[in-house]
Amino acid sequence: MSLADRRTQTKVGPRWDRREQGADGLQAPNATVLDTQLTIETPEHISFAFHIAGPFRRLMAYLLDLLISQFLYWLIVICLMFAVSYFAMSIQMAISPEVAEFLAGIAMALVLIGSFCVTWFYGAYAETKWNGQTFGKRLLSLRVLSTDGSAIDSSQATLRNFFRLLDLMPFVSPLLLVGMEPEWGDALSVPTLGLGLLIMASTARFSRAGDWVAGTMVVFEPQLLPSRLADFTDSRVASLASLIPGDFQVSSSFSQCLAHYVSRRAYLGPARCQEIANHLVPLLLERFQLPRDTDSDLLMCALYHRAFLSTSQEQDSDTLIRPFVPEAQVV
Amino acid sequence: MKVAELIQKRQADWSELERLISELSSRVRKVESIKLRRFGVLYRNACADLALVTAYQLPPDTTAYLHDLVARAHNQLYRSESFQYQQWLFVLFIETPRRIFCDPCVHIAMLIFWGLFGLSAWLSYEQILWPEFATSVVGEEQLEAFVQMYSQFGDGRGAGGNVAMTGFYVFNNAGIGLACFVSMLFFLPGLVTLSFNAVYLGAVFGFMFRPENGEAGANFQNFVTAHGPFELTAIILSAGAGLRIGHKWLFTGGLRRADALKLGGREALPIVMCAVVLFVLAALVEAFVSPGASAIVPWWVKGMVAVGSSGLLMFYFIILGYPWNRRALPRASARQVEGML
Repeated sequence: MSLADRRTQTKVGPRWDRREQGADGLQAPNATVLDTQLTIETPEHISFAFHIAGPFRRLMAYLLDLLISQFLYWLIVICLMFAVSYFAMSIQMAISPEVAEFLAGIAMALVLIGSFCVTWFYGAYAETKWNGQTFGKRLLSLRVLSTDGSAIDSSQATLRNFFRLLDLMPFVSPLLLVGMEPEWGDALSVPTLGLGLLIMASTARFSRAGDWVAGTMVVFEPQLLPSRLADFTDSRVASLASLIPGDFQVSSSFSQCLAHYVSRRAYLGPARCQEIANHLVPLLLERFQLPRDTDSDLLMCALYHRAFLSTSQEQDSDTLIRPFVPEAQVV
Repeated sequence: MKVAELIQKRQADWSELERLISELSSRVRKVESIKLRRFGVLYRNACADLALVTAYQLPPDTTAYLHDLVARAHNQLYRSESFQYQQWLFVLFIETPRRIFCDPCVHIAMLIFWGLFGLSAWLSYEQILWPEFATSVVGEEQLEAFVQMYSQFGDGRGAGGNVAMTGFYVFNNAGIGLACFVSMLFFLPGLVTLSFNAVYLGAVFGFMFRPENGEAGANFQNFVTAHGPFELTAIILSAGAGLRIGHKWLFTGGLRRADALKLGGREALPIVMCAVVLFVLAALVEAFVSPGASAIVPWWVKGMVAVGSSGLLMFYFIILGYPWNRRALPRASARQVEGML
């Protein structure tokens, strides 16, 4: 199977496009609303969402990379220089000045060529070698991908790193701040990143010029902790849950709502909890024929208990087709 | 089944997948094949779980966790292809020269550069039509500095100085070339840079060859001959590569602008890499051959170097570049285009 066949299909676009995708049912419902999410459909016929990384996280990664590549490079060079001169002194090497000058020349050339390579090719090499990550990106859990969600190749990595120069523009000389007129081609100029920020702000995937030319995007790939269901210590929750009529089915959207409610309960405070729950609870109390003065928050917790923690009835309307649970097997 | 039980049951698999992902991404040593196989199974299972989140009625944070897990596993499964060194010979000796030979953007860059260079050199040399041309382009002080510099030129540098200068020339000139390439994305600044370089260089050349600068002119000629072919070609190539991208994004040829830009990038990359190689070669010649004093490196040697390097370039661009058979497409290969659309 060629690579082109296995290419994943992408769906990204302005929001009105994405809303339509929600209708095809492949996508998790919450992926349609958020702006920085990109849905990828893989060859396994599954859609999942990527978070597109924003400019400021990427700036941090870039600064880290700069620190690591340039600072480390010059640190190594300086250490080597000291080590070599110390070594030469300690063995009291007697060499003629011509040879010494020649050796110094070679060292100088190597240092400059190395600096050229680090400046222009560090990002390209690292992103090809480590599957779209440099050191800085790795530390900040970022990854470069093609816009279709597949991995980048070496030419894309090279191009997007060449064009970084354009994103750093315009270069402004700090001499202007102190009122001095900078000379043409002054080495003292500081990148302002204005152009890159402007281009990022006006494109769909926060692409800077380099991403644009290479057809790449940067996604945020956090390592989330496995989630836990809420656990109620209050025994009243379970007893109230048993009072809810057995034929009441918690629908899919209602269970999502309950999960959101319970996960945020701890941050809201009792009064706010009551206020939110009171939009819903009186209607339910009437339907369940429970006493009017039942605590709203408690009822929400009981419903959560019913939805997630206790055995649901078999004739669940959402799961008429019983899902096949694939078992992990090594054949 | 309880959702809680279901999550607990699947959690073992998810954690194992997570462990395998971190093992694959650190890649300290090769991952055993049995684990890779297991990775595939676990990944498909996680995909299936994700597909069924709605049916399972999983809570939203579990869904988010699954999205993240599948995305990370996907990125480990479909990895970037490493550098394919075997392909480099093909790219270097067949694809790149053909692309350069057939690329109208390179031709245009060449015409602009040599046209402006020649015009400006002529204007600067003959002093009847526009006597102040050279001084108004380069500036009086600069010109005097040039004359000053080249009248003292004679003994050359020591060998160590030569080697050090190689590094400097690579760092400086190739960097400028790449900057020229990059700024061509917006067409106008790139064209301005290219034209400025052509006019400036032309003015300096014309001025130095005036009869009144006899000694300095001879020294100047002595210095620039050897590395001229490589360096000027490299300037033209990097401008041409930039022009290719800038042109693609203005005239898309029926593609979407973003796709056209991507295509242009793919086509331009070999050209600009070729320019970088030429800059490095030019730096070597410029550091070792050009500054040699006439006693060590006589004038005819420098001339021969210039002729030889021009011959080499012609062989590369014309003999290797001429599309002898139509089989290997000089444009981006069909697969790349297909993958893009």
